[in-house]
Amino acid sequence: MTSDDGGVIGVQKVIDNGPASKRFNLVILGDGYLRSELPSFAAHVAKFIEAFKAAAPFDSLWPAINIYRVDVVSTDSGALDPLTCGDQSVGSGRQTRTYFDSTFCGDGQIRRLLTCNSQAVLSAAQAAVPEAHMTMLIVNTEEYGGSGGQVATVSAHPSSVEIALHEMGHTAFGFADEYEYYAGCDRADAGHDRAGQPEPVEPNITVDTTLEQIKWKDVLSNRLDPLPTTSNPDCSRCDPQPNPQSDDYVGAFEGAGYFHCGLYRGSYNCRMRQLGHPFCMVCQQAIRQSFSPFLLP
Amino acid sequence: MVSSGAGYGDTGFALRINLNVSDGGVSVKSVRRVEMRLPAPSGPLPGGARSGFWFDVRDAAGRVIYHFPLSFPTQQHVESFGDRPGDPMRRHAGQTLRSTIEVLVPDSSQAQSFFLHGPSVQTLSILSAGDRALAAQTQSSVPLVQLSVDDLRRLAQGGKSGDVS
Repeated sequence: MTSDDGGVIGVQKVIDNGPASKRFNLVILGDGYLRSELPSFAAHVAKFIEAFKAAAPFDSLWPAINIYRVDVVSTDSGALDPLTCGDQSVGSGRQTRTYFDSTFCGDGQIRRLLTCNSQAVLSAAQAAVPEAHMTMLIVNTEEYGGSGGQVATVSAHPSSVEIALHEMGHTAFGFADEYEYYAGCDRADAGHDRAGQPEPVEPNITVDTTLEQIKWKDVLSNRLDPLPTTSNPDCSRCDPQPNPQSDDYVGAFEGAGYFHCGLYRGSYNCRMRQLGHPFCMVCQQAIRQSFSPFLLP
Repeated sequence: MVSSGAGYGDTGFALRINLNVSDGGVSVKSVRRVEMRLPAPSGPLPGGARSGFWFDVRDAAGRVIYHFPLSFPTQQHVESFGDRPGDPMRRHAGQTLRSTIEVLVPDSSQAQSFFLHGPSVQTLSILSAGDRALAAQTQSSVPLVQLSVDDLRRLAQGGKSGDVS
């Protein structure tokens, strides 16, 4: 990133629920937008906000949230897209100069991994909004992609909002991934059969399913139901069994945190397990608890 | 279970701390004091041996008054999302340990010490990328660094990073 590649134009508080010192402040920056494309960036941010506001539990926590849009112009439009990548995919070969150096195949291995210069993004976000809690970057490309870390980086593809919400789960709330594989259920996953590890510090997975100790005992659907709710009969692979309960049931389902067995999640599905699902009740409860200071006057 | 971290005496100010992580350990890069509220801990910190990354802030008696989990801040692995919406997410071993972690801690009069916990970065740094990712999930976490909050406050006022112990 150099000043030749663009610059920060200004900041707009697009959702104003109070002073920054008292609210949760989400800062959204753009990359790969020409000056003439800044209205598109504003539209992309508006579309994200619409989806964010509709996602439980944020719908009921909205008065706790401020959102800032930081307008940034780049020399070129879009993101860098190398012709070759380690996953053997073929890119467009597009060469771009953008302010935050956004690129597909960001690790040289995975085409859809859309990354940026995250330290530069954080610096720009905190220069604009010193009270920033969460920083997100929207990259001006309609191709699907994104990445996590301290900056949630997503493309302008309509479904990339799901990536942003999942990454917010990691960054803003410290949630663990709830999927039970590492490389994939369809791939060799050596070392991920059984957790046998100490209790994870994250609030949404556990090794302990006793009624008295389970982390989410306050939101269990029925304290009289046996725990765990499901057990994986074959720890060498992902558990294929269907959900024996309703979608919103909270119990203890085996398979989470990259292990087929020995680690449990609260619900059969969750945004931290598969994109396109809402946050489960365990995650929703944790978000509500985390946001409680931001609802005070 | 240990402290819920409730009642951490939120004064409305926080210290934004940037830490450098390397195989030599953890050091302070910068500290900034900001008037802002912090999210409440989402639940009690599990007792006993724990895995993962988190930080906590303790009072003079050593009680945890604030804690927060950190999701793989050293990026020993990265997450991908498939080629199309709805594809399963996957993890991939990262090629390098990321060098900077940012945390927000309450600048409360009760706060005496700051701890960052995680798998030993010295151990992680000598493993292959794949082994590092697995080890990070299965090791009991250890304190990676302990810092005096008073020293961090001084640093926020313009001290040098070497002043922090």
